Amino acid sequence: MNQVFNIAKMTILMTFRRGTLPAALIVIAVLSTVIFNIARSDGELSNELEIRLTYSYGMTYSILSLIIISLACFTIRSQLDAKNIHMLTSYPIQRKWIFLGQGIGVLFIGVLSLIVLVISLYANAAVLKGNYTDEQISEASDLIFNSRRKVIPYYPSKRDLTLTYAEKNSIDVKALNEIQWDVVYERALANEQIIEPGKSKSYIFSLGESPGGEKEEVNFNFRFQQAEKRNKINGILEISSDNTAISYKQKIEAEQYQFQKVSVPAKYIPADGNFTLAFTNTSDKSTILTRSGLNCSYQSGSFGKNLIKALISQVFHLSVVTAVGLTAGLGLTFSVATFIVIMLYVMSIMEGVIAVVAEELQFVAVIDFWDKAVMSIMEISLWVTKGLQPPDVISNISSGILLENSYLFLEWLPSVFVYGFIAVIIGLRIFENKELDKIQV
Amino acid sequence: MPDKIEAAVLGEGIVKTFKDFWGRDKVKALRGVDIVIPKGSVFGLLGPNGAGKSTLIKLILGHLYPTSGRLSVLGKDPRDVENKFKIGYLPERSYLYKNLTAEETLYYFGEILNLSKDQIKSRGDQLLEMVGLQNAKKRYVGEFSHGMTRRMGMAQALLNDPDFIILDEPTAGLDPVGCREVKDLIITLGKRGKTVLLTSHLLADVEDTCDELLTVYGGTVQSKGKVGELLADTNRVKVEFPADCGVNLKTLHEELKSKAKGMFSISSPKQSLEQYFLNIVNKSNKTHETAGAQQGKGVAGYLKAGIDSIKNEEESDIDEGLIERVALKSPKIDSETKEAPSISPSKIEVVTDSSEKDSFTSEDLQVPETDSADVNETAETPPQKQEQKVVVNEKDDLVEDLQASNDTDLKSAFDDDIDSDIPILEIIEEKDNEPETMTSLSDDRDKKAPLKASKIEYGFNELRASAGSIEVPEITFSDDDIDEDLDEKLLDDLTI
Repeated sequence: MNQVFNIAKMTILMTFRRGTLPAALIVIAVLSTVIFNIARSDGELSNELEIRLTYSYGMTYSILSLIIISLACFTIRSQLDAKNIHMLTSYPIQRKWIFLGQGIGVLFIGVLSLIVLVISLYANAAVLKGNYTDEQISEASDLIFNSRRKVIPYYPSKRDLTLTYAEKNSIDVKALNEIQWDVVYERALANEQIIEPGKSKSYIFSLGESPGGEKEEVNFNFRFQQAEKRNKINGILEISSDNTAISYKQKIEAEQYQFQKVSVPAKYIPADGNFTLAFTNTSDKSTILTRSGLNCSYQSGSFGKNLIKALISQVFHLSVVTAVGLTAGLGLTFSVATFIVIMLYVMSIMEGVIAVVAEELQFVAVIDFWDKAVMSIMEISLWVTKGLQPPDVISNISSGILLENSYLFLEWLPSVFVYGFIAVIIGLRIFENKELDKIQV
Repeated sequence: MPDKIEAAVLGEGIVKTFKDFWGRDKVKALRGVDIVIPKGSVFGLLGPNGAGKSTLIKLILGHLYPTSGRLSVLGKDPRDVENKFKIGYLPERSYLYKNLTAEETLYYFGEILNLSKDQIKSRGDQLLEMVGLQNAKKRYVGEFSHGMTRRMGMAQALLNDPDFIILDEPTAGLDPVGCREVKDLIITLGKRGKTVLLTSHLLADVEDTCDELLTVYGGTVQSKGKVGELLADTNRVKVEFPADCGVNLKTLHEELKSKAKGMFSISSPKQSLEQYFLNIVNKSNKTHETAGAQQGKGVAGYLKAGIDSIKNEEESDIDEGLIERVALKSPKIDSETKEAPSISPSKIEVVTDSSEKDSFTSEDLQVPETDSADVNETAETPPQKQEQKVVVNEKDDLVEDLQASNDTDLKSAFDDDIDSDIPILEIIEEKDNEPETMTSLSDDRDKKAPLKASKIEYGFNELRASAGSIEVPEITFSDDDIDEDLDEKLLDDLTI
């Protein structure tokens, strides 16, 4: 392992002496500062911090990972072109250790950049806090440093929603043309979201855990949107569970077009966290509750744990980014490798767009062969990009929302692990088995 | 393939074909090369640009893999990592990290070699001192001149005190002192039993240092063997005796027998490696394909504009003239003074070449090239051994003389020699240099008249059978063609 660390040390030293490392750190610090100070919210400290941190951290981290993927690619490629690697491989060191050493060196630079980014954000936040009163600071701190878990109810997919609605109303979807299909969907969506006077809608929550002790509270956040008038909405909130006899009812009166918090003692939430929330509209007008208009939150975890999980996940992400960069640098010429890694990275950060496109493609009554083929390609593209995708942790950190273990460790990390593993295997195979002169062509 | 030799490198039928993106053959760099580098030898790998030398070295280093054939280095696969603890490599160009200082470079590679810090420091200091970079050890390698980089490369190649050292053009770009030091180093390594694989276009370096040679052209082996054997010109015979033994050419045989005693020797003269190499390249160029550089076709036409009048003559001399000049060592006449260069009479070498001339006449005897500056310097310095060479083409004359001879054994022996290129006789006479005598001889050259000498006849079969430092069994001079005046004058000059 001494040899590996020696290679890593050399990589860092060379990057530093070439000026790449100082330049990268300066770019990170300056960029995060500029974005932090450009971004604006409503002037409330907690909101200002949330918006500024989200934009600054998110955008700078994207640039940071782009720098790292390019640096990894450039580091190995330049050494191949300069034949430093040829020199190194004439020494008693296995090529896999050279690969690993280079990777560790670049990853160290990535971690260093990440630390600089966090320090820069902390410093900017500290400067911003100077403009606010202690009370506002306390309120913002309370929001950010007491992390909350946020859960949304289960919603079916657009297609399932439409099909279910059509079935209920005896509509033959196979006979529908595209316009008719869209009309059915709109009706289904309206049926899901519009709560008419005296009617109620049910939402299924699955917290997966007990939300806390007896003193804890669970907050339900509603945002109603009544099309006709901006009157307050009156209604009854009811919590029930199939497995327990627990039942809780509460009258609510809520403003529209902004989130209204309804606190419920945690003891009324079943221990397994599975329950149904029903809302009955007691107003004389109908109202709309969209999919983004309802969530449940409660205190869970801490800012420190959140930050550690975020940083660890980002280090994992940078590892994969480094492996992809190294592999591209080994297997491709410099220009092609640069193009490929940037493309991959851009695709990964556009994963959300691709996912929407894929969903739209699937949103038809009957899926034929070509739809299936295109969907398969889209799914592969999504898979390809998912592993390189940065973890969705920044907005959580900024707004004090718990990073879900299920998301990090069951959803994101496995895809990253598979992606990184494949990248490393391909890179090692290229490096171990290919002839050096072939590689440099 | 010899299997009992303890070989550092053993390769059999090595073929290396580079392919393009579609898998089609692009370049055949090596076409069935057999190579055996004995352990403890200094092995020279020669060839013109693109002959396949670097490819072969890359195969030995495990950077490339053979398309077919077998190759082992120190008894193992070339890619064996443990083996590389015993290998040192100086690439043809600097592949070192430009942003590291000389000291850091050695430290870095020392750590890769798992050397202790004390070892790295101790060896590093010694190596930097050895290659003359002690004062530059804090400087970045990227700031070094080409020569300094070569020195640095040499230092890193020797850091692990390797058993097998691969030196790719080690003296390229070095100043003369550096070249000398590198050659001394190679010789020292050879004496220590290290195996050295050396490639160089500076053939004198190879000739000075190598025990064995392998010449490649167009990816095929053109020649291989020990340097002494390869460079021995078996078509010529050299007779060597001391100049101060007071003989003249008429009575050479008798007087040598009585006066030279045991110092009278006969051996095959060596051609220079440069001559040898050029011959191979010239021959191979006509018979073999190469993906590498081919022999140049002379100066580009546009660069010769205005000298068309002499173009034809010169062009005809370009290819073969160089070889001829090297082979015959014809005297160089000063174009301004119209003087032949001065020569030292301390050693006379008479070479008979039987290949071209129709008759052996006194005009065939020529004075070989000697640097006049050296002569002037010699005139003011203590006596030194100098060498004078006289080249005579006498193939057919010898045959004629033999035909006239009654000695049937000798004649038949010559017939054999004629079939396989008549050998050349070289007689070398040695004595201490004396400035006064030398000057007078030099004056004689002012008239640009070629020297004349006696015709020489002797038993080639016997001479050749006992090539080396032996006593001449039989030498007979015929007096018919002897230029009495010149011979007397020559001997006067030679005999004090």
